[in-house]
Amino acid sequence: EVSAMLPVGVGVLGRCQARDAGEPAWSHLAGRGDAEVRAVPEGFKAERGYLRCALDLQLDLVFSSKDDRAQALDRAVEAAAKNITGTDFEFLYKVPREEDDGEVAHTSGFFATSLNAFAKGELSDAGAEASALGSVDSPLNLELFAASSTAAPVAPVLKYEPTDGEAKFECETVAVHLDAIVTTLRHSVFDAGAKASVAAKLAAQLGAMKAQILAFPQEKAFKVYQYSPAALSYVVGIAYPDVGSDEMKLFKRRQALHKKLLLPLDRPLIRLSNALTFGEGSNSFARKLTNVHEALGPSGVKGGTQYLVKGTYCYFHYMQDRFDDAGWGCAYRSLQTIISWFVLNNYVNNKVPGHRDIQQTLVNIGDKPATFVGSKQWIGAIEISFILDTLLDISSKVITFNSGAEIPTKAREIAHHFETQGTPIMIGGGVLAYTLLGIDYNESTGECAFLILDPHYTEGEDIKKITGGAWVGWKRLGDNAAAGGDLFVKTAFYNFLCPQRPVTV
Amino acid sequence: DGEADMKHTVLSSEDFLDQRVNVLRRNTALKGQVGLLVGLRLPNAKAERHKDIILDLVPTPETDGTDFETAWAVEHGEQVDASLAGGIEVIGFYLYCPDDQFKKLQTKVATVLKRLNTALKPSAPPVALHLDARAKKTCKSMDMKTIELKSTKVQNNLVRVQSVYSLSAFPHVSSGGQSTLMKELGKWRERESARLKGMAIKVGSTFVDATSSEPVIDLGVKGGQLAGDVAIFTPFAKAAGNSRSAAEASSVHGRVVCSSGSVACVGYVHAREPVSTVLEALRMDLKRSVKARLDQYVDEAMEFADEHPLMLAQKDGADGLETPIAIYLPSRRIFVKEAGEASDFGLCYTHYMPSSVEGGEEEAIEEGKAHLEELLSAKGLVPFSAGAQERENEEEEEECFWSPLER
Repeated sequence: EVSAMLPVGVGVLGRCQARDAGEPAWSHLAGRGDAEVRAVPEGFKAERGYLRCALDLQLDLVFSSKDDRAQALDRAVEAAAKNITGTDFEFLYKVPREEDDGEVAHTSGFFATSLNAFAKGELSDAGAEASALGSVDSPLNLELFAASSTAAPVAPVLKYEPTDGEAKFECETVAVHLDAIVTTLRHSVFDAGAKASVAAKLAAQLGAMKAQILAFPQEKAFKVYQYSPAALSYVVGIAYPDVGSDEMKLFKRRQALHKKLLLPLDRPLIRLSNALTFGEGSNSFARKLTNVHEALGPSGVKGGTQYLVKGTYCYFHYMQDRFDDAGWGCAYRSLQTIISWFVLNNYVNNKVPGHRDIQQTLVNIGDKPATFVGSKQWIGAIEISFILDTLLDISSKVITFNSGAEIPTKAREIAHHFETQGTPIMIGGGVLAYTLLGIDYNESTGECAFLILDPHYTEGEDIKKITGGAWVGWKRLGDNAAAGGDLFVKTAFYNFLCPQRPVTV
Repeated sequence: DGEADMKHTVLSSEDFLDQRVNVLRRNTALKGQVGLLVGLRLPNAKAERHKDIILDLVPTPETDGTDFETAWAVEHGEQVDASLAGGIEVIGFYLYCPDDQFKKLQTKVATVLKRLNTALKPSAPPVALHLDARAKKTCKSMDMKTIELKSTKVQNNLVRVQSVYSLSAFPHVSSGGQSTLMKELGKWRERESARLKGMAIKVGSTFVDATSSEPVIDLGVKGGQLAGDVAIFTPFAKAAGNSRSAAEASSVHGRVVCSSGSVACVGYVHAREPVSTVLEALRMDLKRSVKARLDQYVDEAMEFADEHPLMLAQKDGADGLETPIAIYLPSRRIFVKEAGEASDFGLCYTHYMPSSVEGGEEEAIEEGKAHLEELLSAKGLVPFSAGAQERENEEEEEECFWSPLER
């Protein structure tokens, strides 16, 4: 099953056996004895490129009774696989290029060369954009084309063949989307052998699809989705029914796959929403910045250990989306940042709610009166916990501080949160709301700095302004906020809302 | 004369029209003549401006001077349209008559144009051309507005393209309620048309698709034909049964299989137009060819009625869905007009061989010639000799039932 999931160019080579002491033992899968495993040479990854070939098919399952559905599927898959492996294909590439008038055109051709030919401009119309081609996020897309026969023309004969005998048959049509990734050395030519490998991989995916089609008889569309989780150094293609946003339908399958692929069982990595999109589909966080803290330098804490937010978040702040919430919306923006983390790390599919939606939710659950909607009233950590629970089914823990001066005394607890949960923390209380993205903490000396994301920023998505103005930055107790005034008011009460990451796949 | 139509220009070789008028004028017994304009349409989507090039005048048979029946003129238009190569269309109607007679006939001519537009669904509205004995030439639009008529050089700019195309051999399951054999044949035709979307070609080693914009002449033209071999490619998914949506189970009648069929296709393009027009011309020819074959087969079936396998099958109590049948679609024979004094451009015309023709190749050629000479009111047609002739399928195709449970 794992082999069918791998891209063309990647295969199962050997096995690794853990030993009680020392390094694990490697051996060839084919029983050829011990194997030596070395690290890949520098530049190895840069030398590899990616191609992608997707194919949409319809399978007609013809059966006389539902009991025969599995055999009908076998027949349909066998016929389709034979058609794929028996056809002499040309592979058409289409590389987008922007014209002078801003329109997007394509350079197309039949692919029989190397990825390097694009970068060097040998395919002269492809242009500068072609040099970015062939990465895992932007593989070169290929489409299968079949050639017409060049034999002498002969008049066609159409045959209509009615079904045989007294039995009545039914036909159920299932749509299948196959998606083969090829990883190849960038200088190698896409020759007949490579073409045959792609066809074989598509046929193998079709075979692997059968189990899903039988396991989900109510579903009529199935797809191979591609994933590149950080825990794996290769891409995997997984066949799922196309259940849209109803991810929990596939929970058991994902659990089994996590175990098979040795993926951690406490976070979603192969949901439908985790799949590589290859630039297709809309980006709901377009025009916003993500992980702005990565542009920062060191915190200044000597001998400290950094405990940071894990995964991706989007920076929400005042005045975004042309909504003027300056002076009152800081906690709303912190909440949006937190929700973006759950969306971007594939725990939920929700759209990030706007201020009005947040207010309406609080009214709906009885926490606020109806007049709250449309007002400029502040919310705090408790209200945020209600929203996370109601809209996302996410629970939270609260670390309470009787005064701002107390915050560094719970540095270990804060570090533990980032180590185990990795979610952004909403800081409420005092006068201003912030988002906490991490802590740099020296356990021996107690010295610590806090990675603060400030939602009070009112300008555009300019990373230099954001970092230069300390709208994201390492701060200590006693430092000023980016907008002026104390970051933490020493005498004020604080709640640190710590959203809990669901332990799930 | 009415306001000029700024969006439509008609081009013609001046020699061609003058010589045609000379031939008509020399026939002193001729009271007048009406017929079809056949030509090449040059697309120019951005400017929304149509340009047509007149390539042939095809008289409407069985008319007395300019006294013609509208319905017959349109029916003749449909028959001629089915015989044309890709890229070539019936672009309008002409009249050779004195000026005052043309004025009297304008309403009738406008009716013919409107009906041709409805029947043939051309890529641009048809036009009318009035010629008189004093070599006056006037073009009119469908609503009788004057259209610019300009001279152009045709001979060196008309390029013929040809290739061979494989119909899909992938069996297609016929299912769902309320169907008939005729409907299933119609669905086959639609599937073949759908396959042609996304088609690409290679001319020699040059790839051409719908976005290719360099002029045809850059591909190399020799003797009025593209210099390189043209190979056709279609997206595989469309061949592999990608023609229905995912659906719940429905009752199965049988399956449709095209057991053989690499068909000839031929078309014309303008040498200065983008190479993507080669694709368009071949696509047009293939669509027309599939439709024409099926239409002729059905027409023959209706003519022979009770003796024809199609008519017999439809009497099986299930509108033909319970009777195995092998449908031998007519083969395509292509002819050209020999160059004569009328400076013809050597256009190809197609005849689909009826099943009633027996005998060998010579009989087939004679039959085809006779039919086209009558259709085109022309003499001197010869077989097109550049390797595009189809042969009949001589294999006996077994008519059989389908066992879905067998692999």
